[in-house]
Amino acid sequence: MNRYKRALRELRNEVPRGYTSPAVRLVRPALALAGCAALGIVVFSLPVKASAVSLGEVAQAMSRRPVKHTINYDMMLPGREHQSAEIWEADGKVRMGDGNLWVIFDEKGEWAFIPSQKQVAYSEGKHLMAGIVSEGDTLPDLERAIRGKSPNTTVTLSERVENGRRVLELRSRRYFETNFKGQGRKRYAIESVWGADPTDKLPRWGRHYQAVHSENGTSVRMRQVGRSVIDYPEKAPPGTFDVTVPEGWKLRRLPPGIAFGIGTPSGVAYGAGKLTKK
Amino acid sequence: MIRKALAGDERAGDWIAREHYPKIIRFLRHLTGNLSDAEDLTQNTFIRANSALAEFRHDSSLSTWLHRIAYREYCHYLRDRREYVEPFPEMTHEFRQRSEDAVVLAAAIQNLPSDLREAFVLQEIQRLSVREAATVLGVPEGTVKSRNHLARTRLRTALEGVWGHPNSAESLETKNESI
Repeated sequence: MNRYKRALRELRNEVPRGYTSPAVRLVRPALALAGCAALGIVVFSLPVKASAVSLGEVAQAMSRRPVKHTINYDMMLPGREHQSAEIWEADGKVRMGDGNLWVIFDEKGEWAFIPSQKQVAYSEGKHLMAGIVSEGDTLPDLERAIRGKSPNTTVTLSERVENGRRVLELRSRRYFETNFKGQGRKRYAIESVWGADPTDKLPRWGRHYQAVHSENGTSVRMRQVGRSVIDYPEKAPPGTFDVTVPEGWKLRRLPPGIAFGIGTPSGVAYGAGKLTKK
Repeated sequence: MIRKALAGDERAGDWIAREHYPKIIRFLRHLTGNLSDAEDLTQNTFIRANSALAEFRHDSSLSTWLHRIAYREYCHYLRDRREYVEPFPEMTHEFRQRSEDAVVLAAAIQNLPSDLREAFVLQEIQRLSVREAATVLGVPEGTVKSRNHLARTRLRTALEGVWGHPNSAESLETKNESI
């Protein structure tokens, strides 16, 4: 079989790496990773108290959709109190409720997600840039793992102040080129940025970028294409993700098998639904 | 299963989504060139399919019907996209999943003109028949055949630059062969 046919067969048989049936339930109390758009996520589900509007069906999510936008987030040290999340509807604008809740919205509509279950994920293997982290990695560990491994990767570790808090940040960028006959040489870049609290240096969030060219090709900027949140489930107390549906609101379930992620400072929780007024 | 799903059987609906999710996201990933957008479009596809399931007339397979919805979502995505994004061979973790040759082929497919890419992906990767691909794209069967043929010709040219000139026994023809 020639190379083309082997490669074609491989593409034909691809499935999303995180694709898993609902029957698979693994409990992993250790550190976890939420990967970027290019990484499939193995979904774990930890039992939490059901909300008044049960989203237990969310456990049947097939794969995780990367978070596209957030409006606010906070980073908290392990062991802090986590407030219950509340939900609300956005009528063209996103509004925050009480608690540390992220709302994800896309360009086509308004969505609010109720955290009802915690999901953690893990990844295997080492990597050439900081697209993912492995269990137990601190940002300095990650920086040491990447630096010098590839001539096309740059990595920096720095500390800065964001919203009055000290943040440890790891930034890695990787360049590569293609040169297909008839297409010419093209250069690409991808970048990942991970943030951590400087006290434990454990990554808690990541943002992932790819190069975007202007229409006339003259300028390039990095566009965010994904976001990661890392969950440390053993740190969050029970009931963290209990939710209350506000009076007058109801939850409409999305079709089965589709779920979205929502981040909280303690990590990642999942829910699915669109809020509508009764 | 469709009848059960229409009757409100959530497990049936779940089964339908699970059964077809991998092929739809694979299809959209090859069209869009990136997994992130493919995931969004796949989500939209199943949302629309769920709403329109009652209108499914069984005049095609469910798979073809879902591909058609997915293709429409992709067309909306193209229309609404405001910035030009180079076809992007996914780098990060994909190289650990795909062999180097598969990465090269995927990138070459991405560099095809969109009409040729669509026909090629539907027939050669998604393994739809000419008739099914024509239904998805809304074009005559002859158009699908000619676009796929042209796509393979262009791929051969592109891949020669990377893999070298294939020997006479090797070709990009895969019809009538099981791979």
